[in-house]
Amino acid sequence: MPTSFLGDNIIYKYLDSNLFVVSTLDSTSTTISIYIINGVSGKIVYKFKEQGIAANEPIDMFLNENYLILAFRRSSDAYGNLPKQEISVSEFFQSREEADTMKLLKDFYVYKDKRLTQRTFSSFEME
Amino acid sequence: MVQESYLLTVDVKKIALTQSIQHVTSKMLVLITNNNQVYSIENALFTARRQRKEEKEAAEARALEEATTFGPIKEKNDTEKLLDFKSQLYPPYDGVIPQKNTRFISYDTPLVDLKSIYTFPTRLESTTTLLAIGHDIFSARISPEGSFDRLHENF
Repeated sequence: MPTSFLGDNIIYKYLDSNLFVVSTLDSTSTTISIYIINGVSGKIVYKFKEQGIAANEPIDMFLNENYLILAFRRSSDAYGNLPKQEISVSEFFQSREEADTMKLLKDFYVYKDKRLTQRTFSSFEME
Repeated sequence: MVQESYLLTVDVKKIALTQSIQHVTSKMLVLITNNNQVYSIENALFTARRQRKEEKEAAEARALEEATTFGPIKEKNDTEKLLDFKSQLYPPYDGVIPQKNTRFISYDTPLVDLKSIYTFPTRLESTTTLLAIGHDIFSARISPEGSFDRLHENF
């Protein structure tokens, strides 16, 4: 389902089948950087870092629909935190003109807007 | 873009999300734990859209303001509109996802050296097949939101 809503609050999932995710481990083996990249345009859609991870433990990522789930183990640190298993969940949404339902219907039925009627799509137009 | 972190009580080796044929059923997180059990977490618990306490209070304050305003509510244009990514349909945010022992899909089956986990949609919208492979092969049928499209056996 492309949307998710609660009452009149419609939000649109960021859906792009060309996304892929890359993770890199730095030389000290405690920081991983996660990059979500558009495979067609090559742009980095989003990136973030996780610090203090235990690199000898398994790390797994899963990118599905508009979800990115990262499972990793954080090692104990100088502040007395014990090692712990964490998952980091990111969900991607986008704001679009379609937030206004009336305008959307008008654009489709009255103005026959190209963005609603076209059948071919380009990944470059999404940004 | 919303992002949240959660602590788990089990150690994770591999994760996957369930799939359904029409993508209506919410996705469940299935994972292989370090001691080769298959565990599942329902969507409402791991979603990044769980409301934090202060977000909940802010949303309630806005709703109250709208409810107590006399006369027509001022029409807002798109830039003024607040997009609420956090939803009160999910349980409020809690840093730890509690362990439910009934959520172990592999029950107490002693499995050995599982390496990867896959999910496949089935003909039924409610049901997903799960396959965990390693030294052992473990497969199960799971229904993330209950078997809503199947008649009960004593119907």
